[in-house]
Amino acid sequence: MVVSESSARRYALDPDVRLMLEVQADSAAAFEELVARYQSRLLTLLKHLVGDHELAEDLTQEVFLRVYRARKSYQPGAKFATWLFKIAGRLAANALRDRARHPSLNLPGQDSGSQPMRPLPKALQAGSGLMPARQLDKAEIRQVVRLALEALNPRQRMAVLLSKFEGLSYAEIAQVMDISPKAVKSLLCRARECLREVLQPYFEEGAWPHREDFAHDE
Amino acid sequence: MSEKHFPPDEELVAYLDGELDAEQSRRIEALLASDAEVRRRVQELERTWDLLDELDATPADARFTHGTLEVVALTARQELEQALAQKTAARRMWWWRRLGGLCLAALLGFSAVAFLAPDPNRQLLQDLPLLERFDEYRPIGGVEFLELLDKAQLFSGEEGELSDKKPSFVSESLIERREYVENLTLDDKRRLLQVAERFAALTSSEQQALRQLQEYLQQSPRAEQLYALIRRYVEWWKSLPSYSRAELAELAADKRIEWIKKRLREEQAREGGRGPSTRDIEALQTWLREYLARHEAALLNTLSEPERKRFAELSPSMRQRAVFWHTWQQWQALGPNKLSLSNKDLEEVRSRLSREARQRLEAMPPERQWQTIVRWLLHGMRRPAPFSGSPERPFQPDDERLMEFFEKELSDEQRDRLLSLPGDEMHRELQRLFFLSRGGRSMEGPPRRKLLRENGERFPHQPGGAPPPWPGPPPFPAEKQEQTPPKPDKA
Repeated sequence: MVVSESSARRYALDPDVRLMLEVQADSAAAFEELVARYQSRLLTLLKHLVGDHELAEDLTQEVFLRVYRARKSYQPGAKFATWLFKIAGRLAANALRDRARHPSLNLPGQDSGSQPMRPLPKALQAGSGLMPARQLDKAEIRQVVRLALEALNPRQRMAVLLSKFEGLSYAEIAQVMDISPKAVKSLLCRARECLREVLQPYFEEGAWPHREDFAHDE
Repeated sequence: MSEKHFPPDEELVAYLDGELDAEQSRRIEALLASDAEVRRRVQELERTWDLLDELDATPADARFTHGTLEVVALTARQELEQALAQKTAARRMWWWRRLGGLCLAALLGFSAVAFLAPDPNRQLLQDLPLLERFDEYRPIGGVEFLELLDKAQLFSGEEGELSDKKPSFVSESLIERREYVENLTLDDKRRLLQVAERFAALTSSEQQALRQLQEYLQQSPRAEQLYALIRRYVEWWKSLPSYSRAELAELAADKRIEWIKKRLREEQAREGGRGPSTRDIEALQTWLREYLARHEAALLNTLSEPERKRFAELSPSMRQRAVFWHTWQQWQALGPNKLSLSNKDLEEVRSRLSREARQRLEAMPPERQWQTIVRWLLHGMRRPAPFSGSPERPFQPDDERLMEFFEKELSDEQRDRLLSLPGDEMHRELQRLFFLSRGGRSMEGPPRRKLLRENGERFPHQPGGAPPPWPGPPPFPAEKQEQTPPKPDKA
């Protein structure tokens, strides 16, 4: 990564970049501080990306391990968070690819597309057609939203999570995902459209979302 | 649907994400105002987006953090081992070329392993700045009292005073702290460990208060002045008798300030102004040391036969201390003028003092003068000696230790007797009993059962063993302690 002096100066204002520079100078306290600041965010991001808590934990630790290993070559060319999420995104993509090669392990967001993501509660399925204005409880909403998110393809999901929960701009998401800001715009648009398509009928009619209800268009 | 009325979703989404410029945003807003279909579309997109808030976060717990740090520590260790293995496998020429890099890797690996692996000393390192100043922080107790003390301006001193005692080592970096601790002498390490043990014995809220105090001082722009204030206060606090300090410790911060004000007023009235200066106290201590050296033989003659015999068996420096202690006790019991001190001696003492102190003494009858001199010497004994804080500082039991001794090691009868004494006397007697209970070794420091065990030594005085050679007197004033233990008394 070639870093201009002005951008290095700009990013040196990011407190996390400063911490990372301390890690570079072998400050263990700074490393711990970074772990403390980011572990929950990474864990949440990765859990939503890979849909598996244990795997997300392993990946989170792997991210920090890579940060530690890369400390000497680190250059403050971007917000620290974008660098960190880039590592996380690549690891998650690799993990999903590995899982795809072993179909016995059913993961959300695989591009195999033909199977329902998860067995759906029978009662809900049975009653789903005619349940206008049914009161949804919190847990149920959460489950439906999770299901909708998991139904996005991994790249859409990544863009959505970075935008929604990390508040990253299109330009920053582009940096994390190694694509153009224009591509981010289009990715997020399709993702939102997918979410709307799958969630809208549910909240209007109580229809439980099925994977086949919408197509991936990556 | 034409684009004029219905912009592409990408634009609507970018609008919702705040990614459009002002002109584009205005265009969308105009459409939203005029076109119900666009409005509905945007609402749908917004609504589903808001639903994502329902997704649960996955907070990492302490177990997970610990696991992460361990994984990294393990890697650091492996990196180090790998680097070392490569070193042995490499060809000679290569080895030389890479030597620099390997040293760095070794250093790196070491520091990472040392710090990232679970470390029992971690807490100690974290608390190090506080432990370094524990004896000064303890009487302060917490931020609230310090702030009140600062506001009350009771101990404002001259600038530059005590400037030789700047805040000591307070590096932010744990690595530097570790290096610092590793480079301490064995004695200093023991001392630090003792302080850490005393700190650990406090309640968690007391510990918390002291940590907050340390934090507060570290961040205060007036840290230097506050440290000086703490030192001045603690110096005064040490001149209080134990029971007063215990009484003070019981009070809430604001009540403590009231108590201190009252006490200072009383002291001022009693002393007719300021107490003796450090220089005067030092001068008195020097005079006393010289006087005792000159009159040792004569003083020994006043002892009973068995006592004299016992004194004779002591090493010269121990004998010097013993004579001091003996004389000191007599002075306090009888008053120096009842002993062998003459008016000439009094003149000599006065000649060594500052003009102010001299004038104060001269205004009193001789007997009062001696009493005042004894009080000043006593004051000096309780105050930290000029070399306090240096590693050679002779051991003075602090109040906590004395109170613990009072509560746990004395009989009810002894306690009753002590409590019936006036404050100063009680303090003296308690100190004497404490030293007696510790034997001659008390001169070199508190019993270090744990550390001695760790170092494979036996605790110096086994219960039921030979009695100590001489009750340990208070440290000989302003003189560096001799490290050689006294010979055991066979008498």
